Amino acid sequence: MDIIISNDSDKPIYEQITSQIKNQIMQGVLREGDALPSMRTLAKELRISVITTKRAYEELEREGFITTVVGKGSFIKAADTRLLREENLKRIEEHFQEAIRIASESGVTRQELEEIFAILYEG
Amino acid sequence: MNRMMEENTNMEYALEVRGLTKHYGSFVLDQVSLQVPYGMVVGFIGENGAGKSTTIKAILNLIHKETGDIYILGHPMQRDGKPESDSAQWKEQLGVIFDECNMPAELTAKEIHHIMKEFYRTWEEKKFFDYLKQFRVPADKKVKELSKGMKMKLSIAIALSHDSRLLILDEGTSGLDPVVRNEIMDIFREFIEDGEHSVLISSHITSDIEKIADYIIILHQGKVVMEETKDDLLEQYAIIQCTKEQMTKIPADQIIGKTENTYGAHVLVKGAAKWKQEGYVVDRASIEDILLYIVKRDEV
Amino acid sequence: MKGLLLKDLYNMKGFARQYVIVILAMAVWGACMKNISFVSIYMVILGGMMSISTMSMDENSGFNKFYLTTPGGVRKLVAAKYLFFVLTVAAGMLVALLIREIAMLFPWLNTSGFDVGTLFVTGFILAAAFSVSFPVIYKYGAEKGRYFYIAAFLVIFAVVYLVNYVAHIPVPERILDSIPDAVYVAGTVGSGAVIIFISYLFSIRIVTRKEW
Repeated sequence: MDIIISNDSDKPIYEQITSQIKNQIMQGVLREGDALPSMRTLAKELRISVITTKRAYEELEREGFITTVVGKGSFIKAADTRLLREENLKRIEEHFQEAIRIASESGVTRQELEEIFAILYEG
Repeated sequence: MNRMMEENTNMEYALEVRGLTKHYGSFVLDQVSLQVPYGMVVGFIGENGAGKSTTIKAILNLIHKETGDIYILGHPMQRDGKPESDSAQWKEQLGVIFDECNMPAELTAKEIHHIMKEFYRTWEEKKFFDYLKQFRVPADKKVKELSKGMKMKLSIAIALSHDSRLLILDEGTSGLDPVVRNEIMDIFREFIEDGEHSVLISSHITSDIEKIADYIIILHQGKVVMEETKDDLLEQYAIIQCTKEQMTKIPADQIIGKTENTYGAHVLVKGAAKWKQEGYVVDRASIEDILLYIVKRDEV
Repeated sequence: MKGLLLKDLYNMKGFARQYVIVILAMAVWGACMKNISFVSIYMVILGGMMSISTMSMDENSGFNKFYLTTPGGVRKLVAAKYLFFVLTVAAGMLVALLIREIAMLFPWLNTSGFDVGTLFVTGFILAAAFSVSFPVIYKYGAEKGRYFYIAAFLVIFAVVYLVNYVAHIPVPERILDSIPDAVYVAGTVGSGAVIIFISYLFSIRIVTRKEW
C-alpha cells in the first residue's frame, strides 16, 4: 500500500489518507480482506499524529470501506460498488464544478467547454 | 471539562495535572491543568518565562506548589510538594530529561552505566550501549569532554534504558542540530508506537512540536491558553492577509490575534475554510504563528 | 546507596593521583622534619575534604535534581553522602596509622605526640565540624559551606584544645595519660555517631524542603 502525504495540500491529512485508500480500493490495488497497517504503525511510518490515522480509519469504517477488529487490526471490506460509484460521481461533479467556475471567471463559453471535453475524452 | 478529557473520558492518563497553582515571586502559575494520554506525545509550548519549566518541576515535586493534584502513571504525587523520602518504585517507569545533562562532569558513560545499574532495577545494559552506539556517543570519554549535543543524547539514552513509560522533557532538545533532533523525534515515534508509552515535551522549538506532537498545550503568562490536537491547530487556524479596512469587517470576537503594518494587516482566525469562501486571502498558520499572535495580543 | 557511593568514588578518582602525591610529599617532609604527627592528622582531614568536593561536584552538575527523579529518594541521597564521609575519614585514619607503623621502623623519627587517642579525637573534631557544615552546604551551597566548615573546624578545634588544657589543671597529667586509648576511641566514636545522626536528620529536612 502506498500513501503519499503532502503538508502543503489544502486537503487535511486524514482526508488525503482516506481518499488514497479509497482510490486503491476502486482500482483494485487493495482487495477485500487485505490487512491495513495498524493506526499506530502507519502514523509512525508517515511521521504523522496517531490521531490523524485514527480519524482516517474511523471515517473509512464509518463509510463502510474497512472494518476494524479489536486485537486483530483493520481490513478492507467487500467493495460496495454502489458506494464507490457514488464516491466517484461526487468527485467528478467536484471537478466539473471547478472547471465551470474557472470557465465563467475567464469568459470561456459552455460550447468551448464541451469541445474541450470531447477532445479530451477521445484522447 | 476541557476537550481532551471529553475525548478520552474512559482512558487513564500517563500524566494528569489538575489545578496546579504556584506563586513564584511576581509570577503565578494559575490553575494549570493538563493531561498526557497513554500512547501520545503532548507538546508543551510557550514563550520564555511563560512557566513551562516551573510547571514541570512542580509536577515532579522538585519545587513546591500551593494547590494541585498530580498523578504520574496513576501514582498520586505528594500534595505537600515534597519529593519522596523513601524509594518510589513507580519511578522506574519515569524518565526525565532536563535541559542540561545532569551527570557528573568527571564520569564516563561507562561509569554512568555502572551507577545507573544500581539506581534502576530495570536498567538494561545492552539497550544503553546500543543507544550510545546509535547516537555516536563515545562510552569512554568524560562527560565534560562531550559536546552539548552528545550530552543531551546521553541523557536521552539514560532515560530510554530503563522501563520508562513516561518521558518528560524540559527543553531537552534545545541546542541540538536539526539532524540529531530529527533522529530523536523518530525515536519518540517508535517509543509511543505500542500505545502504552507517552511523552511530554516542553520546547520553544515549535517546529519540532509541530512535527511530533499529537496534542499541543500553549502556556502563556502562567495560564493554559490553548489545548488542542495538532491537527486542529494546523487545519483550523489561519492568517488572513487583508487591508486595514477589511479587518474592521471581521468581528472582534473571531480575531485571535493581529498585527498591522503600513501596507495592511494580518489577522489570526479560526475556521480557515469559511474565510476563504468569503474571498479573503488566507494563509495557513504554523504553530509558531499561533504562539506569536497569542503572545503579541497581550503586549499592546 | 551503592550507586551513590560509586558515583562519588568515580568523582574522586581524578584526584587520586593528587592525593597520592600529597601523601608522599607529606610523608617525606615529615621524615625530614623528624616529626610525623601532623602528617597523620592531615590524612584524616584530607579524607573529610573529599565529601565537600563531591558535594560541590553534585551541585555543579545538577545531579541531585536528576536523582530525585529516580526511585532512590531523599533519605538515600543524604545517607549516602554521610556514609561517604565516614568511609573517607576512616580511610584517612587507616592511612595515618599505616604511616605511623612505617615511621616506627625508623627510630630516629619522632612519633610521639601522635597516638591512637589523638587520631580519634581528630576524627571526632572533623565529624563535629562536618556535622555542622553538611546542613549548611545543603542549604547554601558548597562554596559558602566550605568557608563555614573551615570556621567550624577551627572553632571546635579550639574548644577541644581548651577543654584539654583546662582538664590538665585539676586533673594531673599522670591520670590523663593513663586513660586507656579504648576510652578515647569509644568516647569519640560514640559521640561522633550521635552528632552525625542529628546532622543527618537536619540535612534530610533541608533537602526535602529545597526548591530545585
